[in-house]
Amino acid sequence: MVWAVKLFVDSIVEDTVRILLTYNGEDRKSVNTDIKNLKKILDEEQIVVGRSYLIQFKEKADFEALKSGKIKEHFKEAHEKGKITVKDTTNQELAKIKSLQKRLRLRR
Amino acid sequence: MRELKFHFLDVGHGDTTIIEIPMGEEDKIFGVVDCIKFEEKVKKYLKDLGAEKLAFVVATHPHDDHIDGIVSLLEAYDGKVGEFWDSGYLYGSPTYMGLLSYLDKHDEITVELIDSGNIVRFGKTRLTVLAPPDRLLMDSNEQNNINNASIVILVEYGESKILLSGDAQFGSWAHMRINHPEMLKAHVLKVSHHGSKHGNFLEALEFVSPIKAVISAGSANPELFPHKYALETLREVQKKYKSAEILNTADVGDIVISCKGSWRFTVKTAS
Repeated sequence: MVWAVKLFVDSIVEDTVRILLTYNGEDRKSVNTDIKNLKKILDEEQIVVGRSYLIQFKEKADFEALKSGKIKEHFKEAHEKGKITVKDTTNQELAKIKSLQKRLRLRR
Repeated sequence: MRELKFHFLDVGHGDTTIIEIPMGEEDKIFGVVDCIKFEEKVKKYLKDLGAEKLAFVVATHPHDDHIDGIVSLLEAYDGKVGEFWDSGYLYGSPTYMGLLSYLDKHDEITVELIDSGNIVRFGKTRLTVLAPPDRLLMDSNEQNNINNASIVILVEYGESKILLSGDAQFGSWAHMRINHPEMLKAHVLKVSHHGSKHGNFLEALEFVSPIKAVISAGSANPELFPHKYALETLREVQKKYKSAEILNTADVGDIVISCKGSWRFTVKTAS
């Protein structure tokens, strides 16, 4: 069984990042976290606004932790051991938005 | 002239603004600029105003603290929303995706892609879009500077001028300063980006030179809006006015500013 959360980087002001978490397809939560903290799970050199990620968990407890907005200390290690996998889905999400925007534009 | 009213709602960190526009002798129409949450309070507020339909709804830019409540607002006004204004910024957030998907299923709402230079008139009220220009929108897409994709609107009613600046940052202000210098001056400024130092600096604020400045911020936001630098800059440019005010929803609750076509404005706050 694999549990998944979609993570979107919505805004960065100083060291504070607002992320949007979507789980079970629909339920969404806006969470503020520290930029250093977020790097533990995304393992990115630089956190960039507008990026989308699909995060999959092998451990339900880890999924539940992120679902409730907690980015745990051990996430980086779990990530390295393959217990958490992170996939950058930005291009897929933007393609969907582009298609919707085009349809709405053509409707005029 | 009859009263034009702006209702800047205290919604915590984020923006929800209602514009009440007089039409003819007795009628009025309503527009909503951004909506972070369509909670009970906002519903009741609109109901108490008598807003049975909305002429337009604006998403200044697709950040969550500006659009999270828009789908619920559109659902509540099912079939009673005239136009939806969007900047067309390419942004992959689930909230924006949800909003576009809703609009896709509701072709009774006219979706307008708005950019710099658009003018819309409602009776004697004129709304001029000062930003974003096409070029800035493309640059913003490339540089991930979503705030510079903010729709900035100058509302003019007789001699009254009110500037709604979204989350405009340096690039957006620079464009407006160069391309719309004659239109930047306003009596009331809805302060950019909740009073962030990234959206408010001396040259831009000197140009606008607002008598009343309105900030929509939450009392305990992690970004610590409004920033001290922005407040001090506002105070500096307002020194010349006797009736200068900086009003923050976090301090005074809902803010209602009304005018009758002159530079005189009436301010009412919840506290």
